[in-house]
Amino acid sequence: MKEYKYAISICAGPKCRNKNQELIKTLKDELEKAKLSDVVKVLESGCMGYCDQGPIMMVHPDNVTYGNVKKLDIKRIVNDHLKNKKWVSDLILQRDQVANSFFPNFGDVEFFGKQYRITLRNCGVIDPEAIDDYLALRGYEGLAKVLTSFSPEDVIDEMKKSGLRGRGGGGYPVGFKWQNGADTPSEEKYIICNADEGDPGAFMDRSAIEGDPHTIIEGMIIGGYAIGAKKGIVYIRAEYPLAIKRLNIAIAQAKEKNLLGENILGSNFSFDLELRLGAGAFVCGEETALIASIEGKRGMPKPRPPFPTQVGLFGKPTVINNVETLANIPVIILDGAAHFATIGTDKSKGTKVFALAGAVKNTGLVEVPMGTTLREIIYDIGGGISNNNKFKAVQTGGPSGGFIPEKDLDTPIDYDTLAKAGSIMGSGGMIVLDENSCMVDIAKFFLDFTQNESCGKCTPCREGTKRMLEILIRITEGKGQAGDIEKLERLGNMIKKSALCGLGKAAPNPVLSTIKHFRSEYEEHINGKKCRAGICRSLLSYKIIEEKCIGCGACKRKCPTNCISGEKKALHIIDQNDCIHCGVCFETCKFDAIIKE
Amino acid sequence: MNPLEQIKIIQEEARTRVSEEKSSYPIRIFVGNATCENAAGAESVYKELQAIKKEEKLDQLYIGQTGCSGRCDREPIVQVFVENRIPTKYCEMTPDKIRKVIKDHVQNKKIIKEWTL
Repeated sequence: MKEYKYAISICAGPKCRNKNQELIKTLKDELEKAKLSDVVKVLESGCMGYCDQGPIMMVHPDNVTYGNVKKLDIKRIVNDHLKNKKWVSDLILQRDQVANSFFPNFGDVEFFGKQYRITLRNCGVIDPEAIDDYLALRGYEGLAKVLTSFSPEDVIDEMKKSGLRGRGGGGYPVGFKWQNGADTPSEEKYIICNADEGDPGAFMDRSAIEGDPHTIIEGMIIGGYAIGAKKGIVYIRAEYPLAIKRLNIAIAQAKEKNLLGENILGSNFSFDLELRLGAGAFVCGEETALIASIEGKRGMPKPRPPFPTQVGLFGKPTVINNVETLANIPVIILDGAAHFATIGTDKSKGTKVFALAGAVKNTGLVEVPMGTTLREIIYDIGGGISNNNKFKAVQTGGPSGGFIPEKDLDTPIDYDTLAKAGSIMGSGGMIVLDENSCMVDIAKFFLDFTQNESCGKCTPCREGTKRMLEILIRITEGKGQAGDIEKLERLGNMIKKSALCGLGKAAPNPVLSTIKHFRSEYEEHINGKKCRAGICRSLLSYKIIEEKCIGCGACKRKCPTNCISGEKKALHIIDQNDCIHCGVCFETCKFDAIIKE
Repeated sequence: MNPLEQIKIIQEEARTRVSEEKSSYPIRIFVGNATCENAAGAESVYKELQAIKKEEKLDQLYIGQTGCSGRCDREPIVQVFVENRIPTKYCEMTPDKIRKVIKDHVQNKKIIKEWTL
């Protein structure tokens, strides 16, 4: 008997039979051409009841139903779906009963069309508080597969083959990290899930845990098995109460089904999991500071080596993985490393989740294969810049990352190309800036953040970022001096070389990359005392246009310093000496008679 | 029995439970429920749905929850599934809007196109 990989049923009910004969012939021809006719069975089924959406095609075992299938679409279904396992999303009508109890992500083709969801596959689809939903979609099967037929070395090999790299920022290959953890002999070992998401504007980890907590748990158990750890800890910010609640529910449910705890699924492997809440210090996302925090000490980084995989939590070997990294693991085991390695680019495999925010039409969480270009994310998925403004730059990697200007938008995203463009992959924050953003001000914002969050242990980060911030504040207040840009560069490069931990080393990145790409804006601020985006208030002056002012007096009444004068129904004037550039008059005027320059 | 055989049984049981529970309700509505969705007002939509179910005695209505589907700017998102009809996602829902969805979409079988995703 032949073993079929797919079965396709085409509606051949009395209404459609004649119409669909041609379609069936085309399908068979296409399958022949694609050399798939041996593994795909074509079935003629009865009426499926969606006559108004016909012709209908159902693909099993994926349980995908395509509607309004035309002759020309057949080729796409054969090539994309059957050959490359990518569903033709714009034709999908729905999926079968079980799958349909959940909701596939369709209907919003513009937004979901270019996405490839691995870690977010269940987010927005299943009920995150019901383990049955997760189990129904092959939940915990990866774990069972590992416990049945994989040795710990096999799991590590599989990770190495998959090419998965850490998604928290560093991009260290997971297989090698696990190998290091496994190679250090110890009775006691730990695996930690780093859910201390601190970048401003990043919410990937929160959404992943809130949408599908079991995936992370499953990933951790597999990781524990691979390195020989019996204990796992999820280090999560206390500011994420719903994520914490769902993780606790998920842990309890998994224990009840013997998927967690003693002798998991009747095997010899036991694994326990607990949560530790972080108080929301940015530096605690750094591995060694995170460990100190769990140990009950002040969250401060330590010099490495020794790496946590050698001397980690309570002195024991410890592997720390990010939420998104762990969410990939069950899928890699289920579908095989070879399949995973086909997704993405040469050196960066798989997908990456980005929290797309800022000046784009569609903001949201997007998961795309590595190698997708920034332009595709911003213009195709994000729908372009909101209010038809002009694009200026995109910021990736949060406060440790940099800015990418228009000329580099066609860069295919992966760890190395982003680094080359002067930014980093980071944990996945992506903030789009339009022409109304002042690059100096944005750099100040990020540096202000890292300076506030600096733990204070090493001098370059504690003092250096403070001095840099002072210069930036000076520039935005119109007190910039010649040589300030060079001073910023010198200080920034010094901090990069000498700070103790990754956070300190990366703190000057936003400043350095804005200087690199937008030096002229800095020069305008310093030499011309001008902010072209109209953000830096001290550099603005407000003026009333004579032709437009009707003398209503609204601005005069609202002005906090009473520096606007003028008779009723006559032209009003702003006294520039007393004006504090607050902008209240600008917002108040209904006749656009006030301009800022 | 090895772990893989065990999990297959556990999964099959879960599948049966899920499809039996959910398909015994011909109308199923899922409200996005995550920190972001709740901030956008998903909780009030969820409560309103429960109130509507009670008022209208809609015994065939199943009200469920899901995590965030990623469309931040269109939240709260509500997914409406009625047996044998094309599933629909409604976005930027409010308690008033969900009332109209129940009336038009569920009871009068008329999709409110402007509100769909």
